[in-house]
Amino acid sequence: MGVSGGYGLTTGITDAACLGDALAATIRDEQLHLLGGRDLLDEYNTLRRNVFLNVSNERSIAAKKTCQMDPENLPQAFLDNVKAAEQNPDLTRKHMLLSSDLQTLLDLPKELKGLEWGPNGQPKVNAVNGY
Amino acid sequence: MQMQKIDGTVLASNDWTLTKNDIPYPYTLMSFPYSSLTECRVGQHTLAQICKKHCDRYESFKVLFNHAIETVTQTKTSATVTGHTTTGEPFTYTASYVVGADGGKSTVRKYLGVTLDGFTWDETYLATNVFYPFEKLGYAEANFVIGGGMDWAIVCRTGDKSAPWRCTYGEVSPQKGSDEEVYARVPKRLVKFLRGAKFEEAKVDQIARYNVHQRCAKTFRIGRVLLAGDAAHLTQPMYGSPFFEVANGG
Repeated sequence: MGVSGGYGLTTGITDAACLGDALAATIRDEQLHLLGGRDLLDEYNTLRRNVFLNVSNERSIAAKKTCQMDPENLPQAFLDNVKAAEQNPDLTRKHMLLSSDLQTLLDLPKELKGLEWGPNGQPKVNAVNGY
Repeated sequence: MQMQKIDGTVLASNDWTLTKNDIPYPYTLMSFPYSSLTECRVGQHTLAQICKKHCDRYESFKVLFNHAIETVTQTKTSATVTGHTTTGEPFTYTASYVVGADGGKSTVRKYLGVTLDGFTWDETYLATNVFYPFEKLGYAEANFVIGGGMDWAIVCRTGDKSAPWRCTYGEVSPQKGSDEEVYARVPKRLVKFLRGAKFEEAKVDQIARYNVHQRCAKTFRIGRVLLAGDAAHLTQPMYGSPFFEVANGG
């Protein structure tokens, strides 16, 4: 999966991906007991707060400052970066993929990965296992 | 997506097709739809429909519109929400877990007493919908415009040729300027992004002013109740590659 866009919506969507996995695995593990005392909902809390504070929040503040620079006095370091990106499309490609930093994957045993919801409201192993 | 100076100088371009071998869906999600050869933006409305379609595959899934939650309580084994429908019918639902993904003004978050820590910028953003062919002024389909101070803008198409463009720019905080003052100077402000075209040739369709925040809930989890999305965190909408970030102390 790849994600891009404003960091409000994008962080929300990647929250949902992480929380969906955490909830399904937590409920499934009530029968399997594979997590050995790990609390995935606490892991969700820690992972996602860190992503917001260290990635979404930091980058949004920095991007705002960039957009508010004086166009007639752009810093040399910024202009150098602009030139480098212009000359190297692969560099631009790499910048664009940096939004993937918003994604967090829980480290799960394979029995608890890629779960889907069964008709009885209980999670079951998805035919397409994993991420 | 382009980064341009207010005079139209292009500083950087992002072509999403560059990532086609890296990610399965090189789309960008935005609050309004537009697609072209180099960019596919999926609007929020469309995204909601896609989510609903997936959810409808499950018998155990149900969407209930017009239900306003008022209380959230929990025991060791369950969580319960209560509230009223828009027609005044009371409701109570009990489940193993509750996820509050109910937006920036989240009732779930407020009811739990979880604070939203951080700060609110001492400025507002003014979103205007403008009928004018911005592409004739050198704009790409989506643009970050560097104009200095409050004269930055995000300029985007909102749909096909008949749809207006969205031009969002900076304004003062509510303490420093009333809605009336801010709306009265829309022509004076917008014309700066029209690059020599006369304001009279453009038609302003809608205006919305909003506060912008950098805030994060103190916790995303209290027992069996969780927070996600805007209920858990808020940010202003400008984003970009860290590559172009500059530490200017501003």
